[in-house]
Amino acid sequence: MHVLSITIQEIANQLLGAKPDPTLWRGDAARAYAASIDAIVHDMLLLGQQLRVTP
Amino acid sequence: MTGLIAWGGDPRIVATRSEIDRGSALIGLAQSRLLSEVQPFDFLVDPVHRVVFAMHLPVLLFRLEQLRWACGAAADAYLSTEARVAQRVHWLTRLVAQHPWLDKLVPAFAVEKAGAIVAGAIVATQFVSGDTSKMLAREFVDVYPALTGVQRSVGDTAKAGAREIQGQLKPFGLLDPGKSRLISELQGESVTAPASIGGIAARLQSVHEQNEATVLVEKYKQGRHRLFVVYVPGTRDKTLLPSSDPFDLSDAVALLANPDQAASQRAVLDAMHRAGINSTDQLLMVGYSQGGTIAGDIAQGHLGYKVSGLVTFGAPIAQLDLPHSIPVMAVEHSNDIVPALSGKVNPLTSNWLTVEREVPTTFGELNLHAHRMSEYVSTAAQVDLDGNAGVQRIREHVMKLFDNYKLVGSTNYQYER
Repeated sequence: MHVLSITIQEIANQLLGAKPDPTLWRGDAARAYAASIDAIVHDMLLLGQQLRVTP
Repeated sequence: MTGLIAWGGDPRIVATRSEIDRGSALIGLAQSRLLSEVQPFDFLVDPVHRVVFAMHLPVLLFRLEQLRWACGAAADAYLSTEARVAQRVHWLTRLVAQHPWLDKLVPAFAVEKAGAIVAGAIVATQFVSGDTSKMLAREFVDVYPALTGVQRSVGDTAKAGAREIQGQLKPFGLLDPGKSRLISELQGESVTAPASIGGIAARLQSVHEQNEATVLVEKYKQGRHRLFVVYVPGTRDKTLLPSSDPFDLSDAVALLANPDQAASQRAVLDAMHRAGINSTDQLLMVGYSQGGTIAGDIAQGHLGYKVSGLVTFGAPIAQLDLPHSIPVMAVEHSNDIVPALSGKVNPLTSNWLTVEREVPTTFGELNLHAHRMSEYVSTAAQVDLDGNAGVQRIREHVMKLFDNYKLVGSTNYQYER
């Protein structure tokens, strides 16, 4: 049953949309914020993978 | 150190509140969706996966919440102190606009007299010291349409407020914009291009202080290329009654309400037409107070002119949708309420520089003192010396427009109503 892992992937993709549009927000803070989102998305995708292999 | 406070104009740092808010909202949405995956019924269907997920969820939610907090902190930190305070007060406006039932809490007589109350409140800001006066004036403009039910959504509140005030006072013969008429064309005194922002301000001051309402148009040439510089004066007659001066208070209000109907804007467009400016010429618009708003309106590009730069002194321009491709220098005084009549805060973008200085006032002196063009000439001289990266960059962009151009003509167009 992979429904939950698919949902997590969807949420992760949606979260990527929260990264700043560089024409509207850029600078050190924007970069740090984007990197934090990338890190959370990465961990969410890992969780999704873990769920896929969980019986 | 010049004592100036500047923001914007630095391409390395750009921030818009709407973009930060958008990111924050998406994070909030992700949090809600994650939470919705751990409803009790779900555990019956898919228990093992849900338990694993539920174990990771608190940490995920906490990290997302930290990011949302960071968004709020970023939005606060990016804007100036004055802008920060304004943003905090701004919630009231949004609240009233988004929840119309709150109107019921305001007594009916207060709504009917809202125009007088808000106008009185703006006048009262004259007696408030420092940058608080400007912040209060901005918020009064912003809250007015929501209070009176003119506009339910947060948007161009300056326009809605100005239209309402115009409508209320028109039956009494006040604030009627009228029409402008050219009375003379005189050769200007300039023989060379201005060498600095201070030089531009001094030239604008001499235009503003002419006996007749005057628009100065300078023509520069470089081979077949032409550059025009248009200097637009500020509000000269500050009484509510219609006067013979197209740059009076009636036109200042008309300019915010319906720019096309303001006699002052028509005079400027007429002068530009007579000077032969066309859509392929380079154009630097310079304006003080009401003149800055006219210059900004033309710089938006909807009137067919290719504006290459905009310099304003003490002008409400935050409400305008200016192109990102042109350098914008907005020189303001933190205790001058006139720029705050836009009802908004100037954006923090790479092409738009806002420079502020607080003009010292003595006890009992009106803040309107801070709006004097002579004070803006002093501030402009400091802009020329300021080392802030954004100030340097936009200053260079503006002055670079004159590179290799030679002044070939200078004409004062004088108007009456």
